[in-house]
Amino acid sequence: MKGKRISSNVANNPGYLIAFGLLWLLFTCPFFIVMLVAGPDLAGALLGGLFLLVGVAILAAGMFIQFTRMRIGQPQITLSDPVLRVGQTFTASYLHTFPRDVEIGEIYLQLIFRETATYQQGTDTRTVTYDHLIDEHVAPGGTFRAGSFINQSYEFQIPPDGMHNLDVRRNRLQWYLILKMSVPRLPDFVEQLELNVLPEMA
Amino acid sequence: MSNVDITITIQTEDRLDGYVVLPPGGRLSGVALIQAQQGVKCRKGTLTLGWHTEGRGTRYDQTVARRDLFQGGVAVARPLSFPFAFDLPHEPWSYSGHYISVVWHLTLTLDMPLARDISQRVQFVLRPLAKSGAGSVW
Repeated sequence: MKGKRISSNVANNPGYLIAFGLLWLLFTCPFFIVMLVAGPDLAGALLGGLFLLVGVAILAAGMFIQFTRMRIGQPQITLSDPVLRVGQTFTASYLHTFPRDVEIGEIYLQLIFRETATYQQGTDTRTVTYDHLIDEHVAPGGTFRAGSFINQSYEFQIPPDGMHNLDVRRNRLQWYLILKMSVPRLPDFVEQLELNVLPEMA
Repeated sequence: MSNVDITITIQTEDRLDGYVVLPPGGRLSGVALIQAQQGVKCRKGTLTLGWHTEGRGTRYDQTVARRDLFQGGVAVARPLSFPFAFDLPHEPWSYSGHYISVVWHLTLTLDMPLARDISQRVQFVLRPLAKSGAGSVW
């Protein structure tokens, strides 16, 4: 796969969420058990139980995402050019072989320009993002049998009046190709591919 | 209230929304004019080329080049004129977005002893002119 897959994104890598949930449970379980053993402190037990539930919810969310990824499999997105320029037209080839029988909704392939700003608010550090949807291709969903595949190519263009990638302290401008599909009764499948757009005109 | 007028004029033919537009990797040239209503005692005058981010994110400042224009004060009857020229870098391009903007500027600063510095800043756009010209991020 050309380009850089974003592994820090939860949708892309639920491992972080599962690890966080396990860590949460590791710290809250002893607290909950001590509360239960220590005596009839209902408020303490409820509080401990609440924290335990949060950990279980985080773990469950991570496992659901992981389960979705196992059902869907690993799509391959290949770019016609790994390094892009402003104004350049490029082709994204999408090849997806389904490992299991699965029913999915519409498949979206989106070209996104994302602004990520980090700032200080009191003692907290906050990060906000804003996605500019530049272009989108939608393919029909349906029921896919194990071993069936999708092989499509889509053309995109970095707009001639667009911006290149920028990454300076607390301010980031990035281009992404995002693949989204919905799976009934499971979290959406999301795959992000960071594009390298240079400060040059095509 | 300042008793010094500072005018920075950038030579260009390209403008977009009232801003001077200069190409990345090109040359920025112009004239800085300093006129004093009263005699001004300053240590030196400096011209700085740089860019910064604006918007929601913590501001990031970057100075690209600095030129000392003169040392000493500015007399009443003697306006000072300084032609200048800078080679512009290739990036980052100017950008105006939802949370983040990238702004290029040229700043003339008079370093005042035991007082607040006097400065004048002009902003310009660093980016290739899009052929379509419509729907620019600027």
